[in-house]
Amino acid sequence: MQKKDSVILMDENGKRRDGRAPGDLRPIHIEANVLSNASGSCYLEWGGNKLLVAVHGPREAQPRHLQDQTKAIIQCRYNMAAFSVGERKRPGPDRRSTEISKVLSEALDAAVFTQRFPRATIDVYIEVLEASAGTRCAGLTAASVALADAGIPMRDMVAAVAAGKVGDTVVLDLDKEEDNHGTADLPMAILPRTGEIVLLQMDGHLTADELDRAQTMAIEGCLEINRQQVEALKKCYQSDDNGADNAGYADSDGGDADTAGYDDSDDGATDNAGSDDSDGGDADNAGSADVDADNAGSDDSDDDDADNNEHEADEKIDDDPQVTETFGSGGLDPNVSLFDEKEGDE
Amino acid sequence: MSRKSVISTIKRDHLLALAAQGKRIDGRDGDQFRDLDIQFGLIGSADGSSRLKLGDTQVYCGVKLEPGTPYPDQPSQGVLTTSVELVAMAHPDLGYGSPREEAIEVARVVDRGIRESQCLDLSLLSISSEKNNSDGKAIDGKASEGDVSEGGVPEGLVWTIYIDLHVVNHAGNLFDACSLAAVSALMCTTVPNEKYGLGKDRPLALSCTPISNTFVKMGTSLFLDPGPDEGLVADARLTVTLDDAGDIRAMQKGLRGTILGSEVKKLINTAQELAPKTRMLLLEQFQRT
Repeated sequence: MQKKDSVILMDENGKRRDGRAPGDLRPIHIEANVLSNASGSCYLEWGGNKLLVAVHGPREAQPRHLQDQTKAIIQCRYNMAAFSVGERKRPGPDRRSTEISKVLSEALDAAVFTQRFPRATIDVYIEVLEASAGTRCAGLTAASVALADAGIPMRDMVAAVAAGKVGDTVVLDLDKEEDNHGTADLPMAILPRTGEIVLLQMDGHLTADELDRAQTMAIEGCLEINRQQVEALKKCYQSDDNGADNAGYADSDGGDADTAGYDDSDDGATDNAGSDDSDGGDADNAGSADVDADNAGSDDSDDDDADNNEHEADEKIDDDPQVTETFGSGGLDPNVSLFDEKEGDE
Repeated sequence: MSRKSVISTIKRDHLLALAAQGKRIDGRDGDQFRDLDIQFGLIGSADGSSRLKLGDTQVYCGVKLEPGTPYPDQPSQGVLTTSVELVAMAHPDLGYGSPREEAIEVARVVDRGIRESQCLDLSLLSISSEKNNSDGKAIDGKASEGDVSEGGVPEGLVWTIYIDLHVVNHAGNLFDACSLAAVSALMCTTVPNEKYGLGKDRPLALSCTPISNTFVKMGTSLFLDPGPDEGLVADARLTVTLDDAGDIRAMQKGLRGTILGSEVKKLINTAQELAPKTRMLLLEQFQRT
């Protein structure tokens, strides 16, 4: 392997320039619900990266030729601020950001239950305020938090990180210098619960064995990142005393309700247990009701089928019509089991 | 907001009814800004930066200096460029792409306030003046700042100052939010001499702090710092930018309604009373960082 190491990226103790071991992540800070106009939003700092993600929707896709009659489309836009890089970047999209927008849209599409929202679009806007290697992974990680913050039902929260090779060592989460002078870069995103890969890119030079190690490292990184995503969402609702800012689910008893969407692997299971009988058809009805109107909550009570399911589905929700209402307007319908949806999918 | 933005009739009527009594929907006084929160220098890749929150409106500003060609008619003057990106993130009604009139208007009004207040002396921003700096010539009244190596920058270039404003949440009054964010970012801007082999970095000193004040007219009431709904209901809008002496350096009337000469006079008086307080607030937040 040819070394481009005019810069020393790895010292004799196997430590990297910033003192990290090969498998260490840079420090990550995630904050959810930071923008009042968005359905969901997230601010993320990761090493030297700073970025904001806003989710708008689900809402009717315009122009209409974009609409898919069977599901929502995910339109992700990755954009860099002019001041986010060393030399001023001319504002507006270029080939790089267009490619990134496309692969990120596809990665998120794999996680979101898009068939819940026919004819709708879910717009995910990623604004990179400061870039320091790994912005696409950072953007994807933050986008998942923003989608969860928007109450959009997902199989899982996508977590992403790059692995790569610096000199002769396989490392996790390359910083700017390592990215510039390293020998390989492997951005990867997974659904942490199943390990399914939703984004995979690579450039450089790796042996099959090194790729294997890099992938294992990236998966471990993603699992750690996923823990931080969940923490950030929890913190957001715990610290919010009066809930006034949370447009979608203002006064619903935050914790349980909001966790259901993404963290249902353990505690969500009990919530969903009752709704075994809800099939694909019901799910679609509920979905389109949500998209069409803000008063989805009241739509549900008009609809006999949905109402029945509701009774069987979850006593807690049944006790408190307020909760149903707030869920409805947030776009997330608690009556439909995420698990069923998933099975129907496969 | 964009032309697509609508407001319900019932809300419009409510706002106008309140305005008729001189009241506002959020209970503010007519001459009261929303909460102002400024953070300085948080973007490492910029030479100066700020994040400003005015109520729910949120703007990032990054300033970058790069060697560039001067205008042919002013070969020794630095070049100032202001742009506003009203990204789709900022409001559900904003589409992606296409330059928006609103963003361009805001950028030009912000630019005028900074340019005309002469808080930046563009004649001190030719690159040769950085080199002269080493000959002991004073810049911004300061003594020379050490050695200047002959860098890779050719003769005849000047600093181009890019002020880039990134609106991430549009909840009304982009004029004041962007203007104050730009001034804040300039306050903490460093001239990156070292990067271009022009000697030591120096702070980009501002000789004054222009303060922008935007009012709207609703019925007969005049309100400072329009919120998101007030901006949609208002008949007319007036932005007044004042220098440290309280003199007027830039103005812009907007929206389709009319405004009277007497009202303009009144608003300038109000702005003159308020600007020193806003300036103090800005400088206090700057000193705290």
